Amino acid sequence: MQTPLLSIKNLRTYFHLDEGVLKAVDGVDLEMQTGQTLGIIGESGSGKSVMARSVMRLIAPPGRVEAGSQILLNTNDGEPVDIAQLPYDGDALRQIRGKSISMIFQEPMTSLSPVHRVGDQILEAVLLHVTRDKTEARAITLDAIQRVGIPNPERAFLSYPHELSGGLRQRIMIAMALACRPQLLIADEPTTALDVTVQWQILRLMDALRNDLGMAILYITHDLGVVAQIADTVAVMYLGQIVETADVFTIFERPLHPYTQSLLKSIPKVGAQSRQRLEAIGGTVPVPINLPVRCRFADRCQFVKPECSIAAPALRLVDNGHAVRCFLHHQEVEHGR
Amino acid sequence: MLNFIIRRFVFIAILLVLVSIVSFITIQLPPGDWLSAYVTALKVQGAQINEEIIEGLKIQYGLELPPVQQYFRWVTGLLQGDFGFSFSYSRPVADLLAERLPATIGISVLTIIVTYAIAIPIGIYSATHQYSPLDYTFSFLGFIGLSMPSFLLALILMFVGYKYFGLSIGGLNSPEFIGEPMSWAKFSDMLAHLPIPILIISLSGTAGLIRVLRGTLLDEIRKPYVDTARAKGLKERVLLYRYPVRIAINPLISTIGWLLPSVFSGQVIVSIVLNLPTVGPLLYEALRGQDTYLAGSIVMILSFFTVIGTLLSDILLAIVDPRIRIEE
Repeated sequence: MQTPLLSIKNLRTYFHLDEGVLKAVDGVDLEMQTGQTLGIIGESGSGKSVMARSVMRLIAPPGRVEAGSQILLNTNDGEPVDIAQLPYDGDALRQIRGKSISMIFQEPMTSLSPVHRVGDQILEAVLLHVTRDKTEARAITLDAIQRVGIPNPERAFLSYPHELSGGLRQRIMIAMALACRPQLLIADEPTTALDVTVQWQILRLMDALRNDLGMAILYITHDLGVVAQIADTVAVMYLGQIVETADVFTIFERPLHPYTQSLLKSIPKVGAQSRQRLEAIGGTVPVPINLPVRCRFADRCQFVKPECSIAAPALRLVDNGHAVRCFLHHQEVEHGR
Repeated sequence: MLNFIIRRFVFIAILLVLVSIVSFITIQLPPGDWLSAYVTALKVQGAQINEEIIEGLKIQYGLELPPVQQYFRWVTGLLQGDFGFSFSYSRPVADLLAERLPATIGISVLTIIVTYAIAIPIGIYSATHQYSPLDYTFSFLGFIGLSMPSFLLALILMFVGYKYFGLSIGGLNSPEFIGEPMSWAKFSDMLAHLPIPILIISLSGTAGLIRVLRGTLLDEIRKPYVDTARAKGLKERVLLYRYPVRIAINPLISTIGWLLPSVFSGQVIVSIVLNLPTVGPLLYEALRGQDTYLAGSIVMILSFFTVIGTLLSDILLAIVDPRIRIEE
C-alpha cells in the first residue's frame, strides 16, 4: 500500500471560550490517497468545517489546533511535513497553503475581494508559488480560467466579482485553487450557495479536474446527494468525531451507525408518497462544551443501550475499510468471531 | 463618468443658487441693518449726523433698495468676481478674503492631512489588536477627543504652554514678525506656531475617524475573502494591507468632502481663542455685525469648497471602488 498523501492522527481543535473549552474537533483520524475524493458529511455544528480549516491551519484565536494533533502531508518534494507543528505565519506553512493544499470556500459571493479584478486575485497566487515572471503567470492564470470552463478568459480576467454570477465566481475560486496545481483540494461546501443545475456543473468540473491533475479532494458537505455523486470514500462526522467511515457504496447500502442511518432516512426520495413525512432526527446537535464521557449520540439514538451512557465507544473497524463508532456493532463483531 | 460629472456640475450650480438665497435671507433676518446699528452707536456717543449723510450712505451701500434687489446686486457682483463691500471694515470683501483665505486654506488642508495621518495608523492598529492595552488607551483618548470642546483644549494648551514652557502659542507669528514681509525667518516662525492649532482642530475629526476605521476594519477582517487570501499563502501583513485595509479605507475617502466644513467650523472658535488670522473670526464678526456682503461671501466660498470637495471624493471613491462605477 502506498504512503498516504494526507494522514491525520488525533486531530483536536479546541476553542477556548469564557464559557469553557469548545471541542469542535475532538480526535479525528483520517487518511487520504492521491487521486482520492473523501467526502466529509455531517450536520451544521458537527465540526466538519473546522476540521477542514485545521488542515490548512486557518483557525483564528480563540481556536487552536491542540498539541498532540498530527497532520502529516506527503509533499512531492522530500520528507512528509507535520502541518500541525509548523509555526503560524511561517514560511513553511505559507509554502503549503496555496501550493500543496488549496481551499474553496462556501460563499462564492464573499470569498473574493470585491475591489480587485478576479484575474489579479488568481495571478497573486501564481506569482507567489509558481513563477515570478509576470507574462508567464498571466498565461498560467488564463489557462486556469479556461480550464474551469469560462468562455472568454481574457474578459473574465478583467472582471470584478460583482460582475459575475454565483456559478462563475465559484468557477473562478476553483481556478484560483487549481492554478498552482495543488496535491490536495479542500472544498468546504462549495456548492451549497448555488442552485442545483449550477451545483451539478461544478461537481462535474471538479471531478474532471481531479482526473486531469491527479489531485485528491477533501469534500465537506451536509448534502448526501452531493456526496453520492463525487466521493469515493465517506466519513460521517458528529460532534467533532468521525462516527462512521466506509466507501461510498457501503455507506449508502449498509450504513451501520444509527446516526448515518437516520441521515439517510432524512433524504427526500423521488417517487415517494408526497403525503409521507420525511423522517427528521429528533433533537439538535448539542454544543460540545463539557461533554460527559459517553456516546455522544446517545440522547438522540433510537437504539440506545445502558452501556452507551457509561463509556464512549471507539471508532473500530468492522469490515474491510468500514469503521464505526457504536457499541451495537462492536458487540456484533465480537460475538460473531 | 464624464456624463456623471457634467450632471453633477449642473446640480452644484443649482445648489449654490439655493445656498446664496438661504444665506442672504438668514443674514437679513434680524431686524435692522448694519447702517442703522452704526448710526445709533454714533448718536449714543453724541455725534451729530445729519439725515443727508445717512441717505447718502444708504444709497452708496444700496441699503435703500428692497431686499430682493439687494440680493440680485450681490449675486450679479459675485458672478463677476466682485464680492461687494464690507461695511465694518470699509474695504472691499475681496481684499479682506485675500488676506485671510490663504492661511485658512493652508490650515484646513494641513488639518485634514494630519487627521488622516494620525487616524489611519491608529485605526488599523486598534482593529488588528482589538482589546489590547493600546487599543483601550486609544479608545479612551479618542472618546475624550470626541467629547471635549476644542476651544477648551485650546485654552488648556495655551495655559500650559505659557506657564510651563514660556511659549505664546496665540497667532500664527510671533509679535516681532507681524506686519513684516514674508521671509525665511518669518516662515520658520510660522511653522513653529502651526502644530498646536492644527492638532487642536484635527482632534475631534481624528477621534471620529479612528472609530469609523476601527469598526469597518474589524468587520472586513472577518470576511471570507481574507481567508481566501490567507489560504493562498500570503503573509499576514501583506494580506492585511492588500485586502481588508484597502476596503475599509473606502468610507474614509467618501468623508473627505464633508470633513472640510467641519474642519472649518471647528476652526472658527479655535481661531478666535488662539488669535489665528483665518476667515473664521472674520465670519463670526461679520455675522454679529450684520455685515451682509462679507458674511454672505464667506458662506458662499465655504459652500463652494464643500460641494467641490464632495464631488471630488465621489469621483475618487468611484476610482478606488469598482462596485461604485457610475452608470453611464
